[in-house]
Amino acid sequence: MKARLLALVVITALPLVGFDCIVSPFTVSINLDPLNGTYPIKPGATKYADSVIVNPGSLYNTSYELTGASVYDIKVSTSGRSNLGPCSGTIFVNGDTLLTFKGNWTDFSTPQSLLTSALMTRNAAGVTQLVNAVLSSQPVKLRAVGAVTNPLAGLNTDFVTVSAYVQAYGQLK
Amino acid sequence: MINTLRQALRPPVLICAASALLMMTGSLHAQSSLEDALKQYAATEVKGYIQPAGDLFGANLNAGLFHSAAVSPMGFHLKLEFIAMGSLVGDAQKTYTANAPAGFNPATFQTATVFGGKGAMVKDLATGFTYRGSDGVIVTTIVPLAVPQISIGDLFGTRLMVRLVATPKIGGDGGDGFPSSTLWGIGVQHSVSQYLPSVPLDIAGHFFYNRFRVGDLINVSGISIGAEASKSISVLTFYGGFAWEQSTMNLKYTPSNATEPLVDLTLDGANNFRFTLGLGLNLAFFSVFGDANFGSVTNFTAGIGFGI
Repeated sequence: MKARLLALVVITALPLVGFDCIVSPFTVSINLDPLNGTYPIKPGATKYADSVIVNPGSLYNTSYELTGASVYDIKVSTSGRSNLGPCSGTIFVNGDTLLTFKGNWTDFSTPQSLLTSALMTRNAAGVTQLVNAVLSSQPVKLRAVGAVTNPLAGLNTDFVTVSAYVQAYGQLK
Repeated sequence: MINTLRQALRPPVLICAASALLMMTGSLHAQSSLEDALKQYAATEVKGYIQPAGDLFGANLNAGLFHSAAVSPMGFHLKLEFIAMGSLVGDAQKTYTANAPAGFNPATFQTATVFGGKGAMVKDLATGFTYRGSDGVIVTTIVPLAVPQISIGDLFGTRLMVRLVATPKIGGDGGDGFPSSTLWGIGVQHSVSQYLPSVPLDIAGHFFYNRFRVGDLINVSGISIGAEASKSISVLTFYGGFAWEQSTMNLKYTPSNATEPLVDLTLDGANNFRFTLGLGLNLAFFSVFGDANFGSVTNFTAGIGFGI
């Protein structure tokens, strides 16, 4: 793969002498794979609480030394066969509140984005905690605690999913 | 004259021509950074970042095709030329309008292209979330290219032009080597002034097709159709012309985000018309020439030739 885009550099960087016109180092904006947490609502339950551990190093090419990061979106969605009625939840990142959400279960069947949804409220301290965890490559513990109104019938398990979208900036080590 | 051409076509000369392409390689470190910068972008985003590269290289491919319109109705012409061309990187090639993430307000922002400086940051008005474009990779005022070109004719007022440079694969497997590359072009120049003997200028038309392929994933092609005129006074030849041209660059890679599909992108070069003004100096079997080309992209060529 390196050779493939090395070829692109041949096209885009044709110095008369050497390769002095290539900026080195230069900062690449890296869109990490989403930090996902999926939390089950078990049959008969009206409350849920669970944790997911995400290793930020698994979400990007770790040959980069990160110099900064920012969260650019957080989404909450529900999935399953049932309508569990009014629901709510709090998402924690390494113990700090990241966001709270409240609405009807079906409102979240289409992922709700923190950028546009009135059903979600973020906590700046939690966002900072998430960014710091990514920068320090520390494991991120995403914990969800919440409730639904209608207990889940049958044997199926429904889910609440939280996806945090982080962009990091880095240079090759 | 034949011995002159044999001298010109000796392996050292061909190696120099191939080296023009090989000299384009440099720090794998920086090149891997460009690779990762591109891989952050889905197909809809990378186009703006890399478009100027397609514009400028496409303009280079379609440059330096002719240095005279004097094509005889019937005669012997054989010339080997080494042509260098360069397209200027203007301010318009350094920034582009990028899309912010879905839901951001504002939805777009101006940020650096591959030739730009620092990537810009956009801030969502509602949440304060930020998103940043990648930095530009290449700091240069001109994007160069060099090619050898052979022209042969003249038969029924028509001259054939051919370009060819081929480099083998260099380095090991595992993606760290330099893939094989080929640049070739073919075209014809046809005398118009043979039909207009009373016109005191030499007039001709041309058609040329170029292709530059690197490995199996990079493919750039160009077409030029135009008309040119020239006038020789003593050893000087003044020439100029108009041309319609088209260039395309095809780019393929797999984005870092596994949810994004394979990028198979075709970029159309911005330069569709050019106006050329040039001057040549002809000394027996040796010539030197240079011209300026004006269109969406400003381009310059210069070179030397051996032959008649």
